[in-house]
Amino acid sequence: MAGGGSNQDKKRKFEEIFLPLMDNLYNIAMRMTRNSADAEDLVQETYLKAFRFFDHFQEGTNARAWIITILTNTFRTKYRRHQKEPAYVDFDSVENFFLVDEIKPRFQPANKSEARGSEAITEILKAYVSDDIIKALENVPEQFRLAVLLSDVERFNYQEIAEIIGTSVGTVKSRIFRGRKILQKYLLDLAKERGIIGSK
Amino acid sequence: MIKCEEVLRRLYDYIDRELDDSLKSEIEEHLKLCKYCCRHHDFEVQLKLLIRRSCFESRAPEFLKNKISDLLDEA
Repeated sequence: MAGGGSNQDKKRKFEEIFLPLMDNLYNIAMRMTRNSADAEDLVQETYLKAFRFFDHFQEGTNARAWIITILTNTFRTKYRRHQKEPAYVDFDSVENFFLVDEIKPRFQPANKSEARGSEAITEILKAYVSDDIIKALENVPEQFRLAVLLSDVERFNYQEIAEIIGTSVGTVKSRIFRGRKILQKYLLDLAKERGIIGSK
Repeated sequence: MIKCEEVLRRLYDYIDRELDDSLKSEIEEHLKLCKYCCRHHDFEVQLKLLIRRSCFESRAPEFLKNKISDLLDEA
């Protein structure tokens, strides 16, 4: 387009800032929609929306938080409805649940000197491959899953997560707490299923 | 000294670096001395890292990058 310099500039600038974040967006989209077709659509829609609202983006502010906010809003309005949610979770039963305590007995070291904290822990977690962790995450109800992802994967602090989701810091904390507990409960069931640890 | 119960209750805040300095150092001191809480701490930290690593195994497909770039041209 003749004389369309400013539009090209806008696009170049937008791409420079936001295209490097596509893996981040795709990952969240994959975990939230739980399938690649919807994840691709969600990422694409997020980019188009972000481009339309690019004038509202303040340079120098957190671009990743800005575009992830658009992604989570898009997900909420569009994809949530036809998602089959994981089975009902009894929250009381996870409140005081610690996976590390459950696993302890079977991994009892032969002698005390072997009980070196981190190494023993690594052994426990080695029982799980990435697919197990992904499955466990996807089993966590949406709201909690999103909070865990934003904290563990994207490493936002609670305040940033609260702004992205549009809720209070207190709500974020409780969602992260419950999300992690539900995830750990799933990992425990998996370990039992595989006979890695016996049921109590 | 701060109790185990309190440490475990605030463990996620500690790991996620959400605590003020005084409580943070109280928990740090406790973790140095208490194997039980230390084990909990190490486990949660490593699981958090494992979640991050597991999620980053998938990358946006190349065709999607190209498609989005094309769509931006038309936008």
